[in-house]
Amino acid sequence: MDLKKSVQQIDSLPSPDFILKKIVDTASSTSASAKELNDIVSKDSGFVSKLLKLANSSYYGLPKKVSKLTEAIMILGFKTVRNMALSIFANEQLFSFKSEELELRELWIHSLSVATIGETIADRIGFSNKEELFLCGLLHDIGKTVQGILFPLLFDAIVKVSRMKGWTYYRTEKELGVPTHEQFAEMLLEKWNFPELVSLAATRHHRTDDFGSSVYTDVVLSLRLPRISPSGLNMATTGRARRFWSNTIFGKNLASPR
Amino acid sequence: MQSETAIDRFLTIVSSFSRELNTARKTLDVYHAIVKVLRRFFDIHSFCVLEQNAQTDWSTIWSDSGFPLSFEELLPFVELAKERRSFSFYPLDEGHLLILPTLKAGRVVSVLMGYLLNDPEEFLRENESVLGFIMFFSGLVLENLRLYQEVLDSATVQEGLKKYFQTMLDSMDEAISVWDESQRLVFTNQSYIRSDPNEKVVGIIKNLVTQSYENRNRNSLEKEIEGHFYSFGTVLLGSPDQVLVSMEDISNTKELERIKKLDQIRTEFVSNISHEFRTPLAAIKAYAETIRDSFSSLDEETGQQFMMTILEQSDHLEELLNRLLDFSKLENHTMHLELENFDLIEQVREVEQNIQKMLEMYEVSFSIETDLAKAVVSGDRKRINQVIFNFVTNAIKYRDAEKPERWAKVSIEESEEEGKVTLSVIDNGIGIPQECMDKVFEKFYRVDTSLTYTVEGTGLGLAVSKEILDKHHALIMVKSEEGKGSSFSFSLPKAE
Repeated sequence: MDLKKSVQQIDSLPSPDFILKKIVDTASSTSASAKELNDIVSKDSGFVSKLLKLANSSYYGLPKKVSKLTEAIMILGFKTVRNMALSIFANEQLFSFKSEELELRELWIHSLSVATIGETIADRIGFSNKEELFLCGLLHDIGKTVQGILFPLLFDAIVKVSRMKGWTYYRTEKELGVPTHEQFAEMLLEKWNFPELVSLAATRHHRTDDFGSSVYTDVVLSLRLPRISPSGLNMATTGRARRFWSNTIFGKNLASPR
Repeated sequence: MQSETAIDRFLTIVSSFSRELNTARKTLDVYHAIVKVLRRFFDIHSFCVLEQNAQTDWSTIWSDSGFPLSFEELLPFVELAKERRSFSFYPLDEGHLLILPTLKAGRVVSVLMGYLLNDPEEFLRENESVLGFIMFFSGLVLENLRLYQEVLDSATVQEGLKKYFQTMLDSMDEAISVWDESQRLVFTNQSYIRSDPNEKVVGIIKNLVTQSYENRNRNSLEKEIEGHFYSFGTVLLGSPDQVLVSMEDISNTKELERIKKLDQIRTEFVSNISHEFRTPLAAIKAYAETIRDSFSSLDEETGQQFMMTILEQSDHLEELLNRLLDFSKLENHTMHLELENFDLIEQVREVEQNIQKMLEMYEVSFSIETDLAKAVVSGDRKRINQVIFNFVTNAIKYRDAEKPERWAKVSIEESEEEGKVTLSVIDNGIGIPQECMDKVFEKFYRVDTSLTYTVEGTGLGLAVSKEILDKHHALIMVKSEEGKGSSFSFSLPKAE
């Protein structure tokens, strides 16, 4: 399969919603102010209501209801707003892509598990960049999603071979000589112009021995920890957090496997 | 360029925050540092810090006056911080409440609350990074301070314990010192310092320490040093490998023992001698009565015999009486001399006559050695005779039964000092141990307790002899070697 050809195919993928993209950019920019973020978020009424819902959820247990967007942003923080925007985008635009053959929902659960376990581990070991770990976990397998949406047959084949041979997904890609999900992710995120951290997590999580001079090395390395066995850990360790994210943001319980 | 400025700003804040924390010695210093940094970003009205104590209860450790919320009102926010383990801004009245937990390994160490008056829209994304950094870094510093305090506390406890034990050790009368293998003094108690041990004592202690290291055992020793009796004991401490030496001055105990013994001997002496009075007295009385009752019927020969017995018993009684008098004179130092000129050689011959029975009994040969024809000296003849008798009988009594030939001899010669004659009583007996040399002249002193049972005597002989010679201003010279024999000498001025 020619990688070049698939680049053109990527154009047919849904672009992130303009406002969502803007929210992500603003929330990621160091110089952004609460006012700027507020101005952008207020343009997406659906997102505003989700933010308010989250800020007022029992998880935060605030003594008084928050009704203003600014207040919600203040309570949640820039990073949480950014993570939420990206989660919504990933879930609505990518993982809910209808496909008969693929089990994208399981992939979504896997991603969400890696994200929440990563955040939990960061919290326990006193790693201050826990929001970053959540984000990286959530989007680290975005390449597979791209494969699944654009080339369902390829995706299906890789899954089948890897199950048959007992290989990892990544090794199967290598053995079959097809473009890897890391390469797909790289192309996609380049096109979307996502933050360096996210693109590193999505394109380098199998090749963690050389990051050059990237400052995000430890974040991506930490990502390997939850990936060791997310399926085994996800129910016990992150069940509560996962249900929280699913219920609060998406209004449905995505956590329980089919 | 804008992002670089943000990084520069961040680094500046981090470095000044680090500098502040560097000098932090107390928990409050850390919060002061945090507040100082926060004031760079926020218009802060007032602060409040809550910390979790050992009983997992939360309490306010710092609260600015005018802080809008009470402790009870703050508790839900503490719960929020614990749940989220991240900072939050919460709308409050005209401003915002900043809830900033400090974290250590996922545990909320404390929560700092700040009442901010900023327009929320002014908040910048970069402030979040700073807050995140403060949250984790100060948690780390607080935890370190807590551990530091714990170390300090335990050091204080140890110091207190050490003092406690030191006080106990110092209150002991025993002088305690601890030594290491290279004979270095590691520890002493007050008694040791007070005792101010001289070189001799330290030498003995060091010897004992070496001995303990060699035999890996407890060692003890009693030693008389310059008139004081000391009891030493060592204990191996094991870990560390050091030796504890305890030293006690038991002179008083020893002296008391001696006095008690003396008292006992005196009582025994008096009761013995009183008893001995009865025997000759009873004989005299019996013979005298017999003579009175049957005076007419007694033939001359029998009468003579009876009278002789009475005389002999009277002599015996007189001798006993003299001994008793000697004893009391010795006790009171009231001996008087009757000076006359007499021949020493003659006195020795007289003594020789009196000891014949004893020489036979102990199988000891006796000789007199002298180049002089006569040795006329000035002194109390009877007393000097007594001294010679004491020396000679001692020489016989303390014979060495192991030796095939046992002898005692008296030599009389001109003294090195002009105008004097020296008399020496020499034997090849058991001798006197070196350390007992200066004791033999003490009243009732017996060199070895085992000898007490094998050799008869009151233990007064030498004491009386010394008293007599002291009165004559004559020194007693004693030479003795254990197992080889002894020699007792004295010199008297020649008669003019």
